[in-house]
Amino acid sequence: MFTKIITKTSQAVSSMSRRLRRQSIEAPLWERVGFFLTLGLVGFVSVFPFYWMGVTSFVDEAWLYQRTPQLVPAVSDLSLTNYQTLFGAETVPFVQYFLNSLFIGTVSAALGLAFAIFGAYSFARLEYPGRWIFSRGVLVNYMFAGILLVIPIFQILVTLGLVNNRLGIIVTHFIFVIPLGLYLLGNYFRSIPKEIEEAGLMDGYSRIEVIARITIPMSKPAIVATYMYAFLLSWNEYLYASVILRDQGLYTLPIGIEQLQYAFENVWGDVMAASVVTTIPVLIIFLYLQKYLVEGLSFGNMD
Amino acid sequence: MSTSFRDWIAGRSVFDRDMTIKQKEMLLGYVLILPSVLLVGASLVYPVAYNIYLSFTEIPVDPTQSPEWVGLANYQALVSDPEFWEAVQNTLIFTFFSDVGATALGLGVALLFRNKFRGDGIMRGLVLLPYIAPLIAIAFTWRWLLQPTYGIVPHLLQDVLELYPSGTNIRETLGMVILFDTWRYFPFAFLLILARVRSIPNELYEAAKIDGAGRVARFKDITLPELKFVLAAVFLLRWIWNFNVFSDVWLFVGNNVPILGTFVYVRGFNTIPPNQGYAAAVANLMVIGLFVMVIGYVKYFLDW
Amino acid sequence: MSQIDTHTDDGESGIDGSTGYRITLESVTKHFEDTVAVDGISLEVQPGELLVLLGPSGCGKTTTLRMIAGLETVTGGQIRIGSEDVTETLPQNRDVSMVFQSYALYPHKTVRGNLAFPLGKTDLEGDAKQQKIEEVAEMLEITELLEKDPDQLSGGQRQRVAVGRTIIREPRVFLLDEPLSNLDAKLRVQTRAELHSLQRHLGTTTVYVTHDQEEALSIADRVVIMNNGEIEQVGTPKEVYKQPINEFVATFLGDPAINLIDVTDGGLFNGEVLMTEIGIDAPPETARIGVRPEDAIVKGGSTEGRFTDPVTFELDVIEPLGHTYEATLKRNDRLFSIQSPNLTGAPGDSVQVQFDVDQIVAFDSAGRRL
Repeated sequence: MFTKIITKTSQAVSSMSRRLRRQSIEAPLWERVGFFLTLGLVGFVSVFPFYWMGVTSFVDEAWLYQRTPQLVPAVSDLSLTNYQTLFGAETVPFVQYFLNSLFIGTVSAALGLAFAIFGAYSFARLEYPGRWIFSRGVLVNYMFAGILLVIPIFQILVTLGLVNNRLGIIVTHFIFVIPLGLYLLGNYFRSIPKEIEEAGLMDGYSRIEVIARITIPMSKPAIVATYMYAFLLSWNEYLYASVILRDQGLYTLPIGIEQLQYAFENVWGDVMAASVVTTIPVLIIFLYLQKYLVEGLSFGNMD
Repeated sequence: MSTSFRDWIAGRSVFDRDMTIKQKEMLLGYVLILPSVLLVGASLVYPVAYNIYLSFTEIPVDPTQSPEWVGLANYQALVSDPEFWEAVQNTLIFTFFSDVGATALGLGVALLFRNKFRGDGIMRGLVLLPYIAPLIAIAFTWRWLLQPTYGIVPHLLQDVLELYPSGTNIRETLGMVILFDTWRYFPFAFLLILARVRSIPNELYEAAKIDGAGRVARFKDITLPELKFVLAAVFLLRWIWNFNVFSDVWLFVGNNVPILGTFVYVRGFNTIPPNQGYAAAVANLMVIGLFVMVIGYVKYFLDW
Repeated sequence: MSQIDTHTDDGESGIDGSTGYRITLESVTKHFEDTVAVDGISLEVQPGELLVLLGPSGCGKTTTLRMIAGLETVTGGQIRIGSEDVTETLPQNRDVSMVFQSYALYPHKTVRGNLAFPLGKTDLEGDAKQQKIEEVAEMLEITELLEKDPDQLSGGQRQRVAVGRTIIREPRVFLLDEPLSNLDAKLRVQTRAELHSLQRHLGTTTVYVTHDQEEALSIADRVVIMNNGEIEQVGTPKEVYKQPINEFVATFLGDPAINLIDVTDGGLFNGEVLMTEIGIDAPPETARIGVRPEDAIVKGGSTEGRFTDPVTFELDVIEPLGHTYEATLKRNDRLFSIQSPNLTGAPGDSVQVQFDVDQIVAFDSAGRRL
């Protein structure tokens, strides 16, 4: 009986010390606590503004502008008044802004891709002198952010009569997304095994037919992701929209929200509700396409 | 071959059966990329040239009148414009500090993610949020967070922690703009650096540990050299974008912290009467300045 | 786009009475930047023949095949199919088809879709088209796979689909690029036999690239041995194996490799064994003789044919292979491989070996067969 207890105890002690030793090989306790604390802090810093955006959009004015602001609203403070104002169309044509942005983004991303698919294929796959210029050119494009060219492009649009005109902003956006499309799709096309396209040629199809019937159908995920990314660029673009669009009925979301903020004093509830509505489509797209979008995110922003 | 090539140049019988396979592929390559090149060229090369011309003119508000040649007048006016020099100074400070901030923070967070852990996919998604979200939404959220009277951040810092006297506006300051930009773009640096960090073989660290290298030594002798190139690239890209920044600063603080980007916008579109020739001159100087900086960086720091 | 002009011109009666197209390569050269991949080769593939291009990797065999396909441009020379010069014809207009090493099935199409794709460029429509697919599927025993996606198939099944896609259009020429190299050893042997009988059955001129000599020798009507972008020898499997034109071909074929024995003043093994003494009748300029391992027997075995007098070796390593023994022998530190069923003894024992006189090949100092 007594020996049994001793054996059991010594077994327990040795297994415990084994476990401890393993822990010390992995990482000391303080290190792991520190790791998760730091991670928590990073997460908090990244997310807090979004939390505050959401909270502000779901409470009424009384709660927002109280003498001692609170971090967490009570359930009774929650209200949908901001969203009702936004979609009520009494004060601001917010729904119109939303639809304008949707339309301009959808069309300019589609146009941009229509050009970029073939251009990207050309310099990813075909061989001809001067090809390197095009692939480098995409990168030089990096340097010329929107602000550097806004004056001449605006003047050109004035000459063409495209100011204060949906076509003007669509043309600008769709040309701006072409380099992105060339870059992302070019990378993708290069990753498709050459032999699959060669098999198409061997089966009697011309290069153009192979692109249309094999390469493009095979690249559907990449094309969708690039399309979405191009759409987001247009959705977020502020500078050109702000100089091209003059009539309120043409406004996209960024200018519409800006207008809302300047037109009225302290309408933070409405502005934050509008921000939430603008952000949600972006998050949905991101969740669906995270895997593909990471490469696009590395390419950078439009302005 | 030479005959058909000449024919092709001359535009005769483009689909000549005598063309070699190589020539046909070349032709197809050019045909496919031409539309993109024309469009991007039209939106890049032509505006750059046009901008140079415009900077020597005064552009009337009435679009039916053509720009009037004024020679170097815009540039001469710039030299003695204190607002321009203020914008130059702010831009350089902003560019440098928010670049360093975003790159350093991105590096730190990427190192935190070096080893996979439970839920690292979700955490990565959260960390990317500031970079993914629409600028308009987050710029206005920050405005609201820092709003002097009702903002939650001034309330905490001022009333609760009493870090600075009440009545101070911390929002419209260069420091806050730098902080905002750092916050928004550290995920970009994080993303690029993380890919590289995760490809550093673990054996390197283990070998160093066995040799008795401490934490600092391991970072200095293994991590940094392995990340040298990606850090340099991130720093360069962020430099370019920070220098050209407009929307971020404009939507966050308007013209309260003037930088070159907002200076161009205000003079070109937000002043009555606008002075677009003047704005074009500033944009030109920005292009030249940026090229000098980028070439200098690539030549002397990257030693390419 | 021009439709493929099918089989209008000059199919010829080829071997076994089948109708096929002759492929002619005339001084064909291919340069990549500054490296020469194919260095002016001339070759004629007979109508209906199965010709194998064999050689070490980098010898230019795949480049040659891809030039016939049109997937690689030609730097110099001419390629003809039938009497038509196709040197500058786009691949899709050559009416040839190809099985790729990776199979290159269309991942976004089902097996049926993969088989149907080449038919889109023929006159077959609707029912006739489906019937053709069923027919080919049946021939290749893949009928039950028709509705599956390529990523649901095993390696062997993919290979069959790739072959099906190649034959379904009934092109003028089949090109096969290492079609079996992604299969496991057992499946390779089985599929090889099936491919062989399929080609016999269809009678279509076929060019087949492989680096596997066993595969080449078992399937080919004729074999082309290539090295460094040049053709070393063209011949039937038996010819290239038994009558290699030079030492490269002799050593490249055969496993274990042929034994090359230096000849000094008419004597082997540092002159210890005079060739005339043991009964080898070689020309005076012989610098080396080659003896294949299976052409050397241990004294006391079957002596059908003419054999030399025994030469004494020391047994070094012995390995049973089941039906025979493979052994490495030694004499004066020179190794000698042998395959013989009646080998006995332990390492260190001495062995008496006789060479089959009629199978010995003699080479001059430049490595050419005499």
